[in-house]
Amino acid sequence: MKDGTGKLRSAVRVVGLGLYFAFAMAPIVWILMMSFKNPGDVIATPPKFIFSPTLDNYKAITVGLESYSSESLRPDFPKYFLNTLIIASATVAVSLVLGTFAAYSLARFSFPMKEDIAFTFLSFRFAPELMVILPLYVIFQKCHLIDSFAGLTLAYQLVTLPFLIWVLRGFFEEIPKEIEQAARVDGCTWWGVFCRISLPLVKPGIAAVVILSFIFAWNNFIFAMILGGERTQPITLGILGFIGYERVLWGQMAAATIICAVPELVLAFVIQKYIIRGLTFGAVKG
Amino acid sequence: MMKSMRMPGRYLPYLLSLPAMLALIGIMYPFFLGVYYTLTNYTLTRPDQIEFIGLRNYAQIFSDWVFWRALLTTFVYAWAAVALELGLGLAVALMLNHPFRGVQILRSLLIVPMMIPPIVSALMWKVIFLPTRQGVLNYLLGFLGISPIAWLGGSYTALVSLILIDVWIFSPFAILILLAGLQSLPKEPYEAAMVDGASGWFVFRRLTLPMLSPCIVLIILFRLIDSLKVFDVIYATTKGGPAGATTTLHIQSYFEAIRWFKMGHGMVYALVLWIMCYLFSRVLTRLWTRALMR
Amino acid sequence: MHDQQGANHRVAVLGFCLLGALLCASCSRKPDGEAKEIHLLLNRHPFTESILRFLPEYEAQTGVKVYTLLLSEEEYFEKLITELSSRSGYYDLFMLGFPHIWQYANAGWLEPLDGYIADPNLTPADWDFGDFYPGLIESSRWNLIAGGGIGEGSLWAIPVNSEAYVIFYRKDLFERFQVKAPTTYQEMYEAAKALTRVVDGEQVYGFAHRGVRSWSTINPGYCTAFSSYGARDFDENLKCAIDSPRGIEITDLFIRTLKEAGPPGWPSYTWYEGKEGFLSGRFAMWFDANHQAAAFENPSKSRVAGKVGYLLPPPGPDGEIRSNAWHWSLALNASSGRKREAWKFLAWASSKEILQRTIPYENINPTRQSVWKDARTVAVTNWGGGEYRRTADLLLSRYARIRLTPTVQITQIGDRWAEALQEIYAGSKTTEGALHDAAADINEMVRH
Repeated sequence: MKDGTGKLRSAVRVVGLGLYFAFAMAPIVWILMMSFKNPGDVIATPPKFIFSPTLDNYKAITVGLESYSSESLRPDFPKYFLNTLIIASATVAVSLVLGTFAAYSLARFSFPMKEDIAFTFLSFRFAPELMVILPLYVIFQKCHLIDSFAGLTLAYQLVTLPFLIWVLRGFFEEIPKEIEQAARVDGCTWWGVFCRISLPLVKPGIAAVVILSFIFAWNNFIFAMILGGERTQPITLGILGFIGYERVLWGQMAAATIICAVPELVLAFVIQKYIIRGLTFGAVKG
Repeated sequence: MMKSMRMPGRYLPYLLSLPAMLALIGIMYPFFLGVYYTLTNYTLTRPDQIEFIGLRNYAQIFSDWVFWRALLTTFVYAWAAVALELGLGLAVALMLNHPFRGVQILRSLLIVPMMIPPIVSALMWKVIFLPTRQGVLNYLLGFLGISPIAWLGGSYTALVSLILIDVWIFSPFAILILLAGLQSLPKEPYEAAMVDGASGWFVFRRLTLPMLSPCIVLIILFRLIDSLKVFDVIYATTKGGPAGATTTLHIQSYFEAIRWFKMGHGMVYALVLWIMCYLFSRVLTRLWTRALMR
Repeated sequence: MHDQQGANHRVAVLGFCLLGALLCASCSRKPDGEAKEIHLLLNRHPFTESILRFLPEYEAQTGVKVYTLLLSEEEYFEKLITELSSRSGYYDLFMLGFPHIWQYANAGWLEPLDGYIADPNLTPADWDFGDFYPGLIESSRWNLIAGGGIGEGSLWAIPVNSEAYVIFYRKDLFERFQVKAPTTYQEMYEAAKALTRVVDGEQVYGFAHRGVRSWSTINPGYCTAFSSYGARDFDENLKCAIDSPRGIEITDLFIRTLKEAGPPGWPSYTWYEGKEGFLSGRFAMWFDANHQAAAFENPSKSRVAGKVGYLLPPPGPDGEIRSNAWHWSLALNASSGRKREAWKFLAWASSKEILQRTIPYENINPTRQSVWKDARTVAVTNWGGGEYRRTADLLLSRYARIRLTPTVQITQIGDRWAEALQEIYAGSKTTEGALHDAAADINEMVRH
């Protein structure tokens, strides 16, 4: 009887996951194909699934091709990539440092105005970007933060920090108080407990939050556009730059998109094992 | 050494939260400035002629049906997207929560839709949604005998298509959080339930769902705020068209402030959006703290 | 155990120090010193992309470092608005279209250029101001009075690229199905309908035009058709006149053409979709900027190279051809602290030599008469067996003018007008009703 339902469950799982991944991956596969197509093939009617692939698009964005007339000025692309890498990494690092402490204190301590402070963190995320972008530009301008990595890292905190604090707070709350109390009884300070007990226990949470924050920072568009400039131009703006005046360079845009996704993919692959680690502390919870 | 590391317990939480707070404080000034603008007739191209006009902007906007339509559209878009993302997320996370061959690869792959900047995804989806047989979707549907649909050109289909794009991009968010949550669940209750011979459905409803509820509420919280505020996806595809069918509060705010230079009006839309986010968040955070205490 | 704690402690402290250092480093950065550098914010356009290549020469010649930020059109204007409205003076020089000249000049964001042109220390003697097409210079002058005054007052920008509107048509399809090239808009409607058919297994649509809810939809073919019927956007008293009988008549005809002979999903049609559609052979007619011929006649990118014909916009019932026009210009930031250096760059970028050198990079149409008539330009633009140059000549010299009335709300008016067109297309309002409502809204806008 159990075997029967087990097999049924497996079948359902296979079909369900198959459907979802077909849905999720199909456009990605399409973009991948686009990145290998000639300009003529890209906009062909009906859409071409069989075509002769070319590496021209990738070459054009990394090294610059002279075969297009006004459209080969793209060798800046590696620079955009590097810029985004710096900004996203810095943003996540800063958010981690600032946010983990804040999340822990919200989860563990009770102090006056705690929920208000917690909610205030969240409220920073409500602000529609357009509402804040113009005054923010003026502020940044006065502090000479326009087109600077530090400035963008700071601005991106708006995107990543509230999220990180709230999610990590949730994971910290899940840790049973007994474990920490046991350690305190043994003579550890709050810092010791934090570092050696609490932090390791929320590794899946931190992993999930790191990858998601990195993605949010990596993909951000409006702050980068308004508060950035020629020195810090990130990859999102670089990709949109393929909307030229005469035509949209779909092939190159697709190639750029694929390259853009690579660091995120690498990070996800590296981190996913932290998310799935079975946790033995579960034996203590009751 | 341990004794010297102990800090005054009372101020510790504030000390810990302060740096984070400081990093975000830059938002306060723009926010209050924005509120001030809603009470003026500030036009970007006439910056020296700002007059205080009280609530006149509000009166104008609240009596304009464009506002109410935008409000409804925002609402519908956000809730539909969140519901779908949550449902899909839960289903997929449950299915991924088992060790089987290739699960690691699948878990890494699942986030890929989110890895493309939403504005770029929207552009790519625009190509997929092209109205004639040139669009991939219409082409494939053609094999099923369905004639081409103008996805982004029709009043109702446009909103549906946009929600679809949103779900495609952001379900990985829900899946990831739920998966992490599922992985953190304690084992005893399940062992106890198995001993008692409880059915899968019972286990799901009485154990998994309640224990996951903090995660679920968190997902609703963040996705709802982001969906209410959505901009990139709509901007890259329909820009609020056709004939205003996909105009949300944020899009309208953009047109009013940046395209037509009417900061006063634009900020009113933005403020209403902000208040909507605020109210929903209040409710949801309360739900979240209650969910934690179960 | 102590070491572990100590290590963690150190990491945390290091993190905080890093953050502090970052903040300090940026805040203590000195502001830019003297005018040994200029900052340009530019739209992604063949002109700007070609100028980028010549920058090293300029820097070597003058010793001035030029920093440029190039953005695609939509993003460009958003950033430009943010920059200009904050009066930060971070960017010294930028690109504008004519509606923006009206808006920004009115806001005091543009520096009047007459003084710089007249100054022999700043402008080389052979720069030849008179070489620019008078019509283009005229439309860059405005005395800031709404409803008129074009050609009077200060010069706000120097044009570097111009366009007028033609109907591109597929000579091969017209010949094959024996359809006459249209000479009126009614004929255009009928030709479009006749050519909406399946050709060699692919669906072809007779007519295409831009469709998004934006003033840029009004500007090309539609405004040309509208003006050809003698209709105007405003009358002499600055009252909106788009719902005049003539206006209703041509709008009705135009939208009907789109509905019955145009591609589905018109309300989301951008310029590049339409252009690509024509390139790939899906449209029999495309009513838009004439310089797109460069792409259509390029056999490596276009499936219709060699098959394209160029039609002057048909005349209206009174026999007059009236095309709208557009130009891109360079302007100086009024808040900039480096205006003299920026002007010198502007003069260089708009000089005969540099404009001529941008021609091979598809900066069509040039704004200087000498450059247009130059043999090198003729060689590059000799499309359609000379038909392109013939129509462009006539348009530039006679038929193409800016047909819209200068107001500060021009973009908002255009957006609202485009929305009315979308309503008519969707059938949610009659042509008359939609235009009446739009006119009422537009009158409201202009009142403030």
